[in-house]
Amino acid sequence: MLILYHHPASPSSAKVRFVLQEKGIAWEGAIVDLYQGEQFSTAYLAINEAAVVPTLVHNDRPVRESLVICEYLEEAFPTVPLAPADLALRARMRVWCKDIETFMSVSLAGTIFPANDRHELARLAPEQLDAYFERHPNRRLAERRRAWMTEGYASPDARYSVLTYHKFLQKMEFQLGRSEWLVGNSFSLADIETAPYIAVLELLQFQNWWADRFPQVRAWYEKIKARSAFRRAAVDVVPDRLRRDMAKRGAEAWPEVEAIIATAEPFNGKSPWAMRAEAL
Amino acid sequence: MLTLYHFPSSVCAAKVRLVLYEKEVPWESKIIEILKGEQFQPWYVALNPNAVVPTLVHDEQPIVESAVICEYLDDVFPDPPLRPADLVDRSVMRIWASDVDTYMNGICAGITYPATHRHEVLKLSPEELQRFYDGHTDKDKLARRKRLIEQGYQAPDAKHAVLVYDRFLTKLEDQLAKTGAWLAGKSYSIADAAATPYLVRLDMLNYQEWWRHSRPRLDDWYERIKARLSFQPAMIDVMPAKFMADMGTRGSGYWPEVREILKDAGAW
Repeated sequence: MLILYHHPASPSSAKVRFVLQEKGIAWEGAIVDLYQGEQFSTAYLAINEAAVVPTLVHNDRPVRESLVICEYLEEAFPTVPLAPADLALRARMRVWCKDIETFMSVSLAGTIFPANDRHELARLAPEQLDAYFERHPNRRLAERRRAWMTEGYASPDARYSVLTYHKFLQKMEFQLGRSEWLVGNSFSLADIETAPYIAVLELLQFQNWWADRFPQVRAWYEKIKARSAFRRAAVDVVPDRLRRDMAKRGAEAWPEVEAIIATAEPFNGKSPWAMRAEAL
Repeated sequence: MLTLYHFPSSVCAAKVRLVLYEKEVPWESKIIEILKGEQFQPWYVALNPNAVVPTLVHDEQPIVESAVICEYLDDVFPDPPLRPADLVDRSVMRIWASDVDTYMNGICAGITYPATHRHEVLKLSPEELQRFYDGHTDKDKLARRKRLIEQGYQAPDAKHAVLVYDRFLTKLEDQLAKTGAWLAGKSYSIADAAATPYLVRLDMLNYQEWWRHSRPRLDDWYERIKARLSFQPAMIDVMPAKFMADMGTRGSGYWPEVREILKDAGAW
């Protein structure tokens, strides 16, 4: 019995749903309403002390961290393989996935929170909002979010997040000019881990970020969208109201994001790993 | 053919050496003098664009990122296995291995630089020192390093590092209470290899008092780690004798200062 605690618009949840769908595994979903602070409930903290989605519970045992969950599913359900058989390529896939965690995961919040989440949280009453930040176990992230609530993209931290995100798109463009998929010539967990970070931009109607700037990324994302597993995992699951709200808010925020992107430095053309040392 | 580019006192490199000795596979050792900036040479950056140790080269194929290298070695040389057979335990192993990298790697520099590396770096000639500073591509990291080198344990980063280290020791103790044996369950795994260099660091600095009486499970775990055949060659023999001796002597002198930081923060 597999239960996934997740959220429709969370990219790290979408990664795991994508793996489940690609592998054709039957699962049951339990939505954790992040905008209502359900991730801080005692019941949820008992299975995920970091108060983040997703958590997979398999035969009553919790597995945490989206990347670790994906590797878990890869090993527990090997029939449809999503990791290269070649072991050196598999190592490169793991490095790519680790970079996703290091850069995309970390800069995601700063990139989308000012456009979307802050409007969701603004629906809470002031005392509910205070309670939301009080209960956040990650103090630093809680403080950053408070800043994004009031300053939006003017916060230096949000700006840095957008630029990191942009650098990662540059890195993808570079890599996709060299291989068919992100790691080698077959679809793998590297593509699965990356796709939801592009899908969330699309929900915000930020397609212009890559449409002309990054043709390889655009072509790759079209291939991703052609997969029915992806549509079920990352598209169909988003409720209509949230989709409409995100599109509207994103369209309003886009000029600010584009202004930040305009200040980005051109990609230095070094190896795709080189950005790591520069961004850290 | 396996070649490991590494440095004796790098925690990430030490983890990979432990895995190599656990598996008893022959490998060739190439030291990269990271305190002299050798990692920034173009030929090394071509192998490892992040300019860090370790890099494993297997049949001319470079593999980077210590956690990835460990899993690679377990994929290529599956016997003895260093990942738990139980897949949920294995997920715990991966979280530990990754958390140690993410949270403790930078923190370790905050402990070590003030006591020892700082003195090594300060031995460089002004030109060499400038070259060492110039080699850093990451400006924030450089600023932190400079503070540690100039202010020692009184640098705010160093005090922060001491407190995070203390929480890490508690976390290890709690995890060992849960599993009763090793960090990710009943068998020794990559998670234990990943954590080992952080205890060795304190041990070499003569900071044993930090855990010996307050964390009995951790103390017992560390004794079992030291009794393994991989420990001596991976962690001790590789260290230059003088470096080890200096670390011990310098560390003994600094322990009171570290203890004061812990007491001030109410951790002790």
